[in-house]
Amino acid sequence: MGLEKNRLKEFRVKKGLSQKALGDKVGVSRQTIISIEQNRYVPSLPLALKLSKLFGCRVEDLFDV
Amino acid sequence: MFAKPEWFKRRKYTGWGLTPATWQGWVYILFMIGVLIVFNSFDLSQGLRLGFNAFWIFIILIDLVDVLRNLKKDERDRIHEAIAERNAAWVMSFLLAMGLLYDLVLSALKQEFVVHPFLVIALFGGVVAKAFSNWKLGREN
Repeated sequence: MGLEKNRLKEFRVKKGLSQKALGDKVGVSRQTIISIEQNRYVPSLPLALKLSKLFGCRVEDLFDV
Repeated sequence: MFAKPEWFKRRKYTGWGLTPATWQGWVYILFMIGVLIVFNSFDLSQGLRLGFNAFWIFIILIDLVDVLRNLKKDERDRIHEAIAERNAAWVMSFLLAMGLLYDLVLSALKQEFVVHPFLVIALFGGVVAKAFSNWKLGREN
């Protein structure tokens, strides 16, 4: 089961972070960030929470269901 | 110990274990093998040679386990690894079961029981490992 879409790339670019920098901040690889942005990988709840905390938004703002 | 996890990466396409990810990883492997080759080139007693070889291989194994334990993996890597290992386990179990079946058919045809014990032990070991994993996972979460 995948999510419909997400706005991770939009939030990342707005914050001026590279995929590698974002990955380092939340403890995953650049490849994982790429896969999430391309909707090929659904992150775990802890990772989704880390991302939303980093961007200062709600999880549902980042990930559409 | 000596090797650093960042020098290596998990072997993905050519079996199990580690493969060097940086030049330091290659230097480490060459050094560890080089020491063995150099030591064995000296004219030493059999006992000393055996003792040193066992000690050095033990050091390499300890280091290997240490690197494997500390290899950086994120959640996506873990999922990929788990699925790949499960698929490998399924293929191996299927082939072991086929081997057992072959031995049983052969035994019936020859009217003589010739089942290779390793086939049975390997399959039984798999059953035990699966049961233990499920029991442990059930207790933990």
